[in-house]
Amino acid sequence: MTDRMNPVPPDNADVAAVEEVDERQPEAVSVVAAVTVVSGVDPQKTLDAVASQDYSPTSVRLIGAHHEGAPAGVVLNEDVAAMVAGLDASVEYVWVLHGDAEPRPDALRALVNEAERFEASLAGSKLLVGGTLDTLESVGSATDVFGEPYSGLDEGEVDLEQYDVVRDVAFVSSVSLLVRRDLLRGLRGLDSDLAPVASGLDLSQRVRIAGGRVIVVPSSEVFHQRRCGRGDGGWREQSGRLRAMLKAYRPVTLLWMVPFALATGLLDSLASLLLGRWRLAPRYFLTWGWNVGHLPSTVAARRTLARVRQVGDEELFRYQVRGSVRLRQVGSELSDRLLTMFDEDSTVSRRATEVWNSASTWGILAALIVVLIGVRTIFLGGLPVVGYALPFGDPVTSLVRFAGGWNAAGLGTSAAVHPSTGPTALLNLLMLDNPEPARSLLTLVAFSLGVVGIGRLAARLDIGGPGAYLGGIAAMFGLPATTLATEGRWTALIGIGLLPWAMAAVVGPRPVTRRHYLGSVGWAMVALAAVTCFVPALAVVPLLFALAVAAIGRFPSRPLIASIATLGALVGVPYLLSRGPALLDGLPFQVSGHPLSVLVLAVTVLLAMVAGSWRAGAVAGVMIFGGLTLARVVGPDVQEALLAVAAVGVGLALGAALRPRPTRTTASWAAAVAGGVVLLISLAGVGGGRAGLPPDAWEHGLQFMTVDAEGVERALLISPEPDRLPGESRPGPGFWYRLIDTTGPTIDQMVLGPPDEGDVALQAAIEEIATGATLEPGQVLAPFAVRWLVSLEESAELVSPVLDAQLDLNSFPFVEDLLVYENTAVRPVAVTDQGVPWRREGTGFAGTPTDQRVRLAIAGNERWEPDWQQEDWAGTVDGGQGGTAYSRLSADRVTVLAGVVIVLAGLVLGVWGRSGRR
Amino acid sequence: MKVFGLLVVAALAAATLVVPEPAAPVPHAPDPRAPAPYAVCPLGEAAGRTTAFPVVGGPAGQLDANVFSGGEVVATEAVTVEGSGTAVLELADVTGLARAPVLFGLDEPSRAIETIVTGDGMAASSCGPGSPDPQVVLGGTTTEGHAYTVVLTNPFAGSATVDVLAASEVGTESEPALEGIVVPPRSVVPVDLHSLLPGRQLISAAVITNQGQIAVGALHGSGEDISAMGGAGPSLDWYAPVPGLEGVSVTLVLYAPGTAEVPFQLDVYAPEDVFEAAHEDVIPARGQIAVPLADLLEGPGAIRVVSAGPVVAALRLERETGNAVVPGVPVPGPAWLLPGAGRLGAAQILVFNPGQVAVSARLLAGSGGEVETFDVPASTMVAVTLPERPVGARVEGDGDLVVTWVTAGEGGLAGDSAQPAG
Repeated sequence: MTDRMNPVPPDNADVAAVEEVDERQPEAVSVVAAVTVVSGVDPQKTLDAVASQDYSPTSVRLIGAHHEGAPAGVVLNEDVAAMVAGLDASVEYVWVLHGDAEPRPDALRALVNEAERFEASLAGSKLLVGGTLDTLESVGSATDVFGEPYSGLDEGEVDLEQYDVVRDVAFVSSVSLLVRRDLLRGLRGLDSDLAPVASGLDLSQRVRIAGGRVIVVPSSEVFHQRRCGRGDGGWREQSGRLRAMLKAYRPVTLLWMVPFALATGLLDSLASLLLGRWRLAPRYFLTWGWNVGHLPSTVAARRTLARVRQVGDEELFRYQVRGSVRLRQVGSELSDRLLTMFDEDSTVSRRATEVWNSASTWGILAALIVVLIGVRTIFLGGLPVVGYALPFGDPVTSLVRFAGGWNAAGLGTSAAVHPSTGPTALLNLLMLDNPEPARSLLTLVAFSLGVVGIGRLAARLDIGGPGAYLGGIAAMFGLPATTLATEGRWTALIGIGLLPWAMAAVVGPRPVTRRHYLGSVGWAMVALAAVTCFVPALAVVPLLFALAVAAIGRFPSRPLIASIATLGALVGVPYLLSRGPALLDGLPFQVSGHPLSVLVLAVTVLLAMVAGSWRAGAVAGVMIFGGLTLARVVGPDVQEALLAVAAVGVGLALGAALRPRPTRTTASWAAAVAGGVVLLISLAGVGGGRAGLPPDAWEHGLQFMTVDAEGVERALLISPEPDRLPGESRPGPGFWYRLIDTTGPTIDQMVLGPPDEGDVALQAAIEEIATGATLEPGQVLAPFAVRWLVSLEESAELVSPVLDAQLDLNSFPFVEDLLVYENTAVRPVAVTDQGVPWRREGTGFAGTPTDQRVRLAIAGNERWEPDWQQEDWAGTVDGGQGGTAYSRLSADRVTVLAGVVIVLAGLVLGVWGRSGRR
Repeated sequence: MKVFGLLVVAALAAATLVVPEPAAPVPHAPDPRAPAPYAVCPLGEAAGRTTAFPVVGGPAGQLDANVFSGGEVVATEAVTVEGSGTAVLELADVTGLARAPVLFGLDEPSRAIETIVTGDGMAASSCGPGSPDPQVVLGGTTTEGHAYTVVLTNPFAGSATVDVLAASEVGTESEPALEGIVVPPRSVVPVDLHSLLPGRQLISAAVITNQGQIAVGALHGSGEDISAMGGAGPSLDWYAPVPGLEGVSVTLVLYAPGTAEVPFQLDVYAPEDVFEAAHEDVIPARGQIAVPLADLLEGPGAIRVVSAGPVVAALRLERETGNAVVPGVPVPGPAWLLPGAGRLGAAQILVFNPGQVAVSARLLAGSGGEVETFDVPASTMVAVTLPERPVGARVEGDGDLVVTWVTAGEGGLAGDSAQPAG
C-alpha cells in the first residue's frame, strides 16, 4: 500500500517497488503528458510530480495559452487539440493532467499498464482530495440519463481501498486521464468550452460512443487540489454536462430526454426552495440558456461524433443509474432535514444499521406508538367538541379576527381573540378548509412533537436518551396534562407539545457561526410565537428558563437568543392585555391530583437527583411542583401555562430518572423504578384515546342548530358546570351560560371578552327568565338574537320549571341529553327597522342597501361603519351602503401584525441559518 | 448546593400537597322565584254555560286574556282593571267556544282571578298558574246522571305529558287511558271520568306531570247543579272552615297522591271547644278517604287536617238540589282575596282563626270599601255575610286567618277558597 503520510513520497522503498515493476513491463509505450493550466495555480508542482514519475513520458506539454514562460523541458501548447494534432504517430497515449493535481510517482505507470491490460481507450486515475491524506474525491463515476454525476461516495469518505478494482465506468474526471492519442485526435480533443468534470464526462462519452472502453484505475492515485473547481456545482459544470449529453445521445433519445430534463430541473428547483436554496432555478435557467447559445457548436460536435460512432445510446445507458440523481438527492436532503429538525442528535436519521441499534430509536418509536394509541379516537372519529377543543371556523374570517378584526364571541367584542385562532386558521387554509382533519392532524402532530421535543430538551440538559422520549409520554399524558385535558383545555395540550421546542431553542451551546446564530434566533422566535399562540401566558417561560439554566451554570444557555425570541410573543400581547386582571384572579379551574401521584412524582425527582442528575432533576422538580402549586392561586390563563410547564417538567423528570448511566447505583435503580411507576400512571391517560379530553358534548348535539345556519342568530347554552360548555362561560343564576353563533362553536369564539354593557343586559335578561317573572322569555332574549336556548339535562331542575310555563319558546324534543327551546320571537343579529335581516359576510354583515338604519345586536362601538349610533348596549348603522364592517386600525391589529412580521422574519432567518449548516 | 436543590424540590412538592385546590367555580345563587306573571283558568265555557272571570287586587292596570284552544290562541282581550283594583271579563264577549280556557297575563302579581260558571247550576273555581307538581281535584261523582270531567289545559309553548291517577271508593283506579296523556301546546284535553270510570260515588284524581306544565280543573255536573275545583297541590296541613247551611251535608275528602299511605288526624274546631285528634285514619297510597263531618261537628266550625305525608283536602257540600266543592287552605295568612264571592248571590264568608289569639278582621268590597269589621276569636270560625255583588271581596286581619266562601241559592251551591293577597 502507498504511504499515505506522504502524498508524493520519493522514498527509497517506493522507488524499489517501481523498479520491480520496471523489470516486469518495459517502457515500450510512448506517452505524452499534457498538463492543463488551471487559472491562478502555478503548475510547477504538477510538473515536478510528472518529472518524478517512474514511467517517464516521452514529453511534457503545458497546455494553456495564457501561461507565460515554460520550465525547461516543457513544451507550451495552446490547447489539447492543437497539441494532439502535432504529435508524432509513435505516441500511443496522452496523459491529460490538471495543473492543480499531484500524481503519485507510480500514477502514470499504473494507468499505462491497466490501459494496456484492459485494452482501454481511456483510463482515469483515482482522485484524492489534496491536502488530505486519504479522502476520496473520485474513483470514476456513473451518471443519470441527464448527465448528473453519481460517484457513490459520501462526503469526506476515506479511502480504505474499498474501491480498488479496475472497472468500466461512465466517465472519469479530466483531472488525470490517459487517452489513446489517435482517438483523442479523432475526437478533436477535449471540449475547451467545458468545465473540468463536464469535460471528462464529455470525453468519456465520446470515447465510449466511438467504441472505446472507459475504465478507472484506482492504483493510479492523484491528489487534486480542487483549484479548478470541485465539479459538484456551478452552472458552468451543469451546462457542460447537459452539452455532453446533447452531443452524445441519438435524436430519438433526445426527444424524451430534453423534456424530462426540463421537468426535472423544475422539480429540483422547487424542492430546493424548501431547503432554502434559491439559486437552483436561476442555475437551470442559465444552463439551458448557455446551451441554447452554444447550440451551433453542439450541433457541429454531434456531426463530428457521428462520423466515429460505433455504438448506440444503450452502451451509455449501461453505466447510468436509474432516475434522477438530483431529485433523489434533494428528496433525501429534505427527509434528512425534516428528521434532523425533530431529532437533533440524529437518532432517527443515522444510518439504518445505527438506527436500529440505538436505544433512543426504540424509545422514540415506543413513545410515538403510545401517542398514536392515546389519540386514536381523535384520528379515527375526530376531536370532541368540548371545553376549549372547538372546531375551526372559516379560515379567512378567523385570520381577520386574529389580525385585530371584530371578535364575535358572545355578543361581540373589540377585545382580541385567543391567538390560537391564527395558526389554526392558517392550518385550515393550508388544508383547503377541511377543519376536522386539520384539528386531528394538529393534535397528532403536537403530541408527537411533544414526545420528540422532550427528548431534544432533555438532551440539552444532559439527560437525553430513550428515557427522555418515554418522558414525552408522561409530559403529554401525565398528571398536569390530564388536569388540562379533563378541563377540555385542548389549546394548552398543543402548547405542551410545543413548549419543549421553545425551551430547547434557548439552551444549548452557542451557535458557531453568525449565520447559525441568526438561524437559531429565528427558530427560537418561531417556536416561542407558536407556543404563545396556544398558551399566551407561556410567552415569558423560555426566557425565564434560559436565565434559570444560565444561573445554574452547568448547562449552556442562550439568554440573549431567548430575549430576542421573546419578540415573537407579540402575537399574544393583545390577548394578554385584554384579559387584564383575569390573568391572576380569574375564575380558576380545578387543579386536582391524587396525593399519591404527587408523592410518586416527588420521589422520582428526588431519586433522580440523588442518582446524579441533580441539576436537571432540580430544574424538573421546580417546574413540576412550582407549576402545580402556583396553578392553584392564579387565573385560568396563567393556570394552564403553569400546568404546561409542570407537564414538561414531568417529562424531564422521567428523562432524568431513566437516564442511561455507565454504572448503576442503588439510587439510580430506584429512580428508574420510580420513573417506571410515573410512566405507568401516565399511561392511564392513554386509555380513552382522546388525549384525555372529555367525550364530545356539543358537536352532534348541536347539529340540529347548524343546519342551514348563516350565523345571523345565536344560541344560549346552559350548563351546571363551566367546563362542560364550549369555551369560556359566564356565571348565571344557578348555572353557567354563554352565547354562540348558530353555526356552532368555533375556536375564534372560544374566549369571551371582558364583560360590557351587553353582557350586563344579557345577564339581567337571564335572571329575569330564571325567576319565572316573564311569560315571554323569547321576547326577552330576542334583542340578543337568541334563537335557541340549549341546556344540559343536568340543569333541567333549574331551567324546566321556568321554561315549561312560557309562551314563546317552543320545546324542541328531538335532541338527546339536551333541553332545547326555539325562540319564536327571535330577531337576527343584523336587521333593518322593517325586519329585513342582513346576512353575515366575513366579520361584518351585508344586505340589500336601504335608507333605513340597521340594528346590530352586538356590543359594538364607533369602529363599526358606516355611522354607528349607540342604542342601549347595541347600536345601529346606516343601511345605505348595503354592508357594515368593523374597521380602522387598532393598536391590537398593529401589535398582532408586527408579531406576525417578526415571526415570518424568524422563519426566514431560521431556514436561512439552518441551510447554512450543511 | 445539592442538598439545597433537594430541599427546594421537597419543599415545593410538600407545598403541592398542602396548598388547597382552588374552590370549584359555582354560579351565583338563583333569585327566589317571582310570583307567576300569569293565571290559567281551565274551566271557561262560552257555549251552554256562562263564564265570568272577576278580578280583584292590585292597582289600576291591564290584563291580557288569551283564549287558547287547538294549538293556538283563538282570542285575545285586554282587560282593564279600574282604579279600585277590580275587573270582570265575560267570556262570551271574547269567544263562543264551548270549552275555552283562558290564560291571563298579569301585569301585577297581586291580582287574583276566579272562574264563575253558571248554567245547569253554579260553580266557582280559582285560577292559578298550574304546577309541574301533582295537582289534585276532589269530590266528583260518576254515577248515572253525573258528569265528572277533569280538564287538562296547556297554555304554554311546550307540549306536556301527564298521568291521571284516579281513586274512588273502590280504591285506586287502574285505567290505561288515563296514562301518558299528551296535552299539546295551547290546547285543552278534557278527560271524562264518568265515561272511563262510571258508577263511582266519590271520585278524586291526581294529575302527575311527566313533562311540561299544565293547569288542571274539574267540573262536576249532577244534573241539578255543577261544582268545580282547580287543581290543588299537596300539603301536610289543611284548614277547612265548615259552613252551617241548612240541609247541606258536608264531607271532608282527602287524597294522598304519593306512593305511600299517609296517616292523618282531624282536629275539630267546634263553636264550643276544640277536639284535637277527633278522628284518626290512614289514607291509602294514591287513594282517597271521605269523612262525613256530621259525625264530628254539629253546625259551623272548622277542621284542621294534620297528616304525616302530603295530601290534599276539600269539603264536598251536598244537598238535594246542589253540590259544591270547597278546597281547603294549606297555609293561614292575614289578607285574602275572594274575586268571585257574592257574584252568585249573597255569600257566607267563612273566616277561621287557627291561632291562639283573637284576630280583628275586616271584610272589604273588591273595590276596597269596607263592608264589615269583626273579631275572630282564637280557634274559632266566624261566618260573615257578603251581599250579592259583581266582583268579590277582600278579607284583612291583624293575624293569620283562613278564609273560604260559600253561596247557597236557588241556582245551587257554590264555594271556593280565598286566594292569598300579595
